[in-house]
Amino acid sequence: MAREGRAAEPVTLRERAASGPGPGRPRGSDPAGARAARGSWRRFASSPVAVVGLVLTVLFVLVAALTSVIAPTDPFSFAGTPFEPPSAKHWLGTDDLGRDVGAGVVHGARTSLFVGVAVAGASLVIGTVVGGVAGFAGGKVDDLLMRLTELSQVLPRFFLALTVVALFGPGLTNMVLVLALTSWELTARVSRSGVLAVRELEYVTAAEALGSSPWRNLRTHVLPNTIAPVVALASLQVGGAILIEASLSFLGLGDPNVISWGYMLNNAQSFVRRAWWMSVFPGLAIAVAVLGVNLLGDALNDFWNPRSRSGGASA
Amino acid sequence: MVRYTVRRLLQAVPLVFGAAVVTWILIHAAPGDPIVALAGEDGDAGYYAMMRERFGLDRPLHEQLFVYLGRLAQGDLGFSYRQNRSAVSVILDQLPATLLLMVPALAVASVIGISVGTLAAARKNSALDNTARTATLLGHAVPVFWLSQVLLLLFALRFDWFPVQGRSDARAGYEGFRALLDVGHHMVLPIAALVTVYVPPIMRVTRAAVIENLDEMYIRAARARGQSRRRVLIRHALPNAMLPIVTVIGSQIGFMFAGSVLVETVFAWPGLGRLLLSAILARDFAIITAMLLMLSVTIILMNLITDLVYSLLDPRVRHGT
Amino acid sequence: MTEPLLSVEGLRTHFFVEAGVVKAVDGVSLEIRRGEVVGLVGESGCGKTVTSLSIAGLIEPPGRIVDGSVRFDGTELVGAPERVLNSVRGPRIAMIFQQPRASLDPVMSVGRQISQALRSGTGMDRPARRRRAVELLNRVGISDPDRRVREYPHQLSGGMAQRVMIAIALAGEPDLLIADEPTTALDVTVQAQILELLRELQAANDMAVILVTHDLGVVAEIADRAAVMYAGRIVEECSVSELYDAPLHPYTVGLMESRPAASHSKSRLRVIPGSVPVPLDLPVGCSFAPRCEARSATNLTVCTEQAPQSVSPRDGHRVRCWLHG
Repeated sequence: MAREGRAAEPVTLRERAASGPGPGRPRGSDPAGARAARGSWRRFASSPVAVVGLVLTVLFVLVAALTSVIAPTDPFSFAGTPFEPPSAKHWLGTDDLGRDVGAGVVHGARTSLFVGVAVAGASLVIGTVVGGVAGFAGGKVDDLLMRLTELSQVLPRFFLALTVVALFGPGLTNMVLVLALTSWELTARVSRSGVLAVRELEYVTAAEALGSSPWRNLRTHVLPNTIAPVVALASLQVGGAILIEASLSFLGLGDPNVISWGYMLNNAQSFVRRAWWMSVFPGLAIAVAVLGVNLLGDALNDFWNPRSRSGGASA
Repeated sequence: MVRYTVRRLLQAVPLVFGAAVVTWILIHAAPGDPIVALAGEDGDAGYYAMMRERFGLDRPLHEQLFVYLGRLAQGDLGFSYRQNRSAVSVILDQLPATLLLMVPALAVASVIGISVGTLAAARKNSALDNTARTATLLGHAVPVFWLSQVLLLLFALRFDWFPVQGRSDARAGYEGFRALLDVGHHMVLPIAALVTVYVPPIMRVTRAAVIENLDEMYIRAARARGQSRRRVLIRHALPNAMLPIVTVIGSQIGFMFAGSVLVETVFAWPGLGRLLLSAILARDFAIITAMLLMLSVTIILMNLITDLVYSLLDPRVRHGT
Repeated sequence: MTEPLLSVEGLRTHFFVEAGVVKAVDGVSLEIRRGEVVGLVGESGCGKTVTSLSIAGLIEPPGRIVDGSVRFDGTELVGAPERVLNSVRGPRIAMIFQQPRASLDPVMSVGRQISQALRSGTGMDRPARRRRAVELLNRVGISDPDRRVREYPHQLSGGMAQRVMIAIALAGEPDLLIADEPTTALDVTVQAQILELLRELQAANDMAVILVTHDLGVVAEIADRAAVMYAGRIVEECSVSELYDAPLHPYTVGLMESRPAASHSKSRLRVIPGSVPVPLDLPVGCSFAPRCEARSATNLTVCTEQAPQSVSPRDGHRVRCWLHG
C-alpha cells in the first residue's frame, strides 16, 4: 500500500487504511464465495489471537447476559459493612458504602456491552448510509460528504463526548449518540469504495445495468460485497467506545442511575489508600473486556480488511 | 514545496471552519440558554447581559454564527465567570503543566515505540516480536486512569518509591536544583502511565511499516551491494517507514491529550485535567467548549505539520512531483 | 582447464509455505568461467530468478537453500556466514534487477547509493567516493552526472535508473554480474541501449555475466552460452549458436519456434501447448512430459515414469531428455 500513498501527497494513515476492500470479486451466494467463507473460518479458528478474543468476548457477553443469575442483588444496595476486603462472602470486597464490588463488576459488564454494541451498531448504520450515498450520488454530494468525513476524523472524540455530556446532561443515550457520530469515518470510506467498485463493475457490463434499478444493484451487489468488511470495522469501535464511556464515568460524567466500571473507579479514586480492591477489580474488568473485543475485531479485520489493521482500536 | 504548503494550508481552512461550526451548534443545541454554554452557570444578570451583547445572542440566529466566528477570529472563545477571565487565558495558564507531562512522555514513547517496533519487524515472530505485540494489545485495552491508580497503589503506596500526588512537595520547601529534582520525582509515575498508552500505536505502526518496507525491492538491491541486514534495516527500511510513523504520532494528539487529562486527575497534577474536572463540577461551560475548539484546531494544525514534516523527509514530495 | 569462476552444484532452493513445499529450484548445476556471458533462459516461474538470488545468498524465509553448493572463486557460499556474504556481494558479485526504479531507495540520493557500494573494501574517503560516483555515472552514459548524482530515484526515467543500477554494480569492479531481466521493464529503444552498454562494459572489464531472461533475442545478442530452465531444472545447456542451429530438448525447440522472429509472416506463431506446472505438485518423471509434443509423437513411456538425467550427446552440449539419453 505504500507506494501510491507516498507519491503525490502524504495521505493520512487512516485514509490509506480505508482505501477499501478494492474492486473485484463480489462475494455473494456463489459456491466459490461459500467455500472461501468456510476456508476463512478454519484460518480464523487456527489463529490464537482470534480464539483468545472470541473466548474473552463470549465470557464478557455471558456475564452481561446472565447478570441476574450471577449477581441477583442490586449493585447499589448495601450488602455488608464498608471497606470489607475480598472474602468468601464478598469475593471482590465491599466499597465505602458497604456495596458489593463483585455485584458492581457484573452489572457494569451490561452497561459497557450496551455502550460498545450500540456505538458500533449506530456507527455502522451512519457510515454505511453516508458512504453508500456518497458513492452512488458522486459529484458534489460525494465531495460534501467526504469533507464531513474528514471533519469527523479530526474532531477529538473524547473531548467532544465530554462536552456533549457536560452540556446535554449525563446519560447513556447522549454518550452513545456522540460516540457514534464521531466513529463512522472508516466505515463510510470502506462502504463508499465498495459502492464505487461495484459501480465500475456495473459499467463493464453496461447491458445488464440498463434494466436494473439502483436499489436492486444495492441489494444484489453492493451489500453482500461490503457488509463483511464494514461489520469487521464496526467491531473495532466496540473497545474504543467502552474505554471512552469508562473514562467519562471516571470523570463523574457517567449516567448516575446506571452502575458502570468507570463510575466505580471514580468512587475508588478517593479511597485508593484504604481499599485497593475498589480500584483493581473494575479496572481489570475493563481491560479484559476491551482486550477481548479488540482481539476479536483485529482478527475479523485480518480476514476481511487486511489493509485496515493499523487503523483500529484507539480511544 | 511552497505550492504544496499553500495547498495544504488551504485544505485546513474548511476543517477549522467546520470545527467552529460544530462547537457553535453544540452551544446552541444544548438544553437551556446558549449563554450558559458560553459563560457557565451562576453568572449574575449584568454579566449575562454583557456576554449576550458580546456574542450577539440577541440577534437573529444566522447573524449569531457570524458574530461567533468573528469573536473566535479575535481569539475570544468565551469568558469564565467563575475565574473572571477569558477562557483562553485560563486554559493557556494550565497548558504548560500538561505539556510538562505530555512532551517527555511522547519523546520516551517515540523512542521505545520506534526502536522496539523496528526490532520486532526485523525479527518477525521471534520471542521479542511476540512479547512486543502482546504488550501492544494490552496497552490498547488498559484504561489509562486505572493503570495510573494501580501504579500509584504499587509504587507510591505499597513501596513508597515515589510521591503519591501533586507536582511538588510543598511542605519540604525545596529550592533551586532540589526543587527541580522534586518535580522530576513527581513526574515519574504520571509519565510512566502516559508512556504505556502512547507506545502501542507508535509501535504497532512502526512494526507494520518496517515489515512492509523490508519486502520492497530496494531492500534486496541494497543487500545485493553488500549492505548488512542491520544497515539495511536502519538506513533503508526505517527512513522509508517514517511517513506512517510521523502520521500516527501527529494523528494521535487528541488521544494523547485525553490520556493526559485522565492521568492528571489520578495524580492530582495541576494541569488541564484538573482544570477540566473543576470546570465540569462548577458547570463552567466556557472552559469546556473553548478547550474542545482549541484542541480541534490543534489537531488540524498537527496534521498539517506532520504532512509538512514528512514532505521534508521525502524527496518526492519536496520536489513537488 | 582452469577452475571456473562460479560453480553451482545440485542447488535446491525450496519455499516452505502453508500449502506445502514449493521446489522453485530443484537440482541446478552450472559453471561459469571468467569473462563469460551465460544466458539463463526460461518462462516466468521456472526458477531462474530464484537461482540467481540463491547464488548471491539472498534467499529469505520462507525460502531456504536445502541442498547443493555454490563455489565462487574457491569459496563456498552456501552456509557461509553473513559477514563473508556481505563482503562478496557488491565487490565480487553484483546484481541488477528487472525493476530498476523500485530497486533504488526512494529517499536516498543516487550519489549516496553508489557511495554505499564503494564503502566496502575500497577504503575511499567521502569526497573520493563522491568523485568516483560521478565518474561511474559518466561511465554508464548518464549526461550531466554532477547534477544527477544529487538526484533521487523518482527523478529518473526507467532507463536512467537501470544505468544507475549498473553504475552501482560496477562500483566494486565485480568479477560476476548477475543481471535479472535487466531490460524487460524498459522501452524497446532503451532496451537496446542498455544491452549495448552491458556488452561494452562486460568486454572492457572482462566481467562474467549471468543474464537471466525470458527473451531469446537478448540471449542471442549478448551471451556466449545459454542454459534453458524448466520447472526448477536446467534442461539444456549449450553455446548460443547451437541453441539456434541445433536445439535438442523439445522444450527448447518449442521456445525457439515460438519466437516472433522465427515464424516471420509465413506461418502462425507457434505456441507450446499447456502451461508451466505448479511447482507444488510436479509431475513424476520429466516435468515437461505433459506438454511435450515429441513425447506424444514417439509415445515413450519412460518420460512419465522417471526423471531424465543430464547427458552430453555433443561436446559442450548437455540436455535432460529421454529422447537423447
